[in-house]
Amino acid sequence: MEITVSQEQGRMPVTVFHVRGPVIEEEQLQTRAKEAYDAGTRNLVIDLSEVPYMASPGLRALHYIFTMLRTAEPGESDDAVRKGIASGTFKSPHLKLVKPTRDVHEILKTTGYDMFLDIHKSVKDAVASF
Amino acid sequence: MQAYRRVFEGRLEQLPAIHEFVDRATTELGLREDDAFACRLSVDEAATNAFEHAYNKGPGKVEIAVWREADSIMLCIRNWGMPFDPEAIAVPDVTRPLEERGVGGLGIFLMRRFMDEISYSFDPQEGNAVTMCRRLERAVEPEHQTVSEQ
Repeated sequence: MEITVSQEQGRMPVTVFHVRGPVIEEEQLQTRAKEAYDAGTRNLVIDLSEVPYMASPGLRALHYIFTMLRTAEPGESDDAVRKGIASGTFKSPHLKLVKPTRDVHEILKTTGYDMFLDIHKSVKDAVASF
Repeated sequence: MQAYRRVFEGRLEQLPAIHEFVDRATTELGLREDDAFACRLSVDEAATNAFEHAYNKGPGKVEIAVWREADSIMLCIRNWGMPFDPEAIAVPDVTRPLEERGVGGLGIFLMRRFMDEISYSFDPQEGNAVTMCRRLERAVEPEHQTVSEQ
């Protein structure tokens, strides 16, 4: 798996991870996300258009990143997130995914990750959504 | 019975080769794409469990076998590490709020979701074997037969 990083400016600064290759382990993605977070990243887009498949460690990495980027804002309180996911109105305001391949999308859907992560058709759309 | 069988090093880095092996086997056995996807995914997860739990990320071997039986596709993932029953893992309820889910157990959740039957056996000589079955609906007959691999 290769991760290249770019910085985009929408209404707010956004870091974009362009991931290439299968996501079969969690450490690399988590480490790069933590490095970005420590460097000031608060909004992250992960471009999955070149990820042919993902195994459960990749899902664990997404969960880790989702939790890391979550803030103490009222809209992200435990209660708000719980109610929002249950009613289908909550999506992470800080982590967005782009164009997962068919296999990856099926895994995200099956495990319910699409219930709290927005999926966009392009990096441009994802950056504009923040 | 046509079987595809190969032994891999039990390391995470081998997962792409395992994925490719299962993809090729299921293609040559005439599976539809949704069935082939289910097989690739389930073998990925069972092999990952072997790497992470049976071998605790240490060295070892993993044997993958794929074959058809009547209207089903069969998968067997064998390792010779610590006894490890994936069925003993609690699976997350993915309909529950995020904070109440664990991040563990997703692999076995996916295997259960995409396979119809999963069984586990352990023998000191034969090792841990996870055998999975997925029933095929309107299966396409394989166009050709190939030799078993060892």
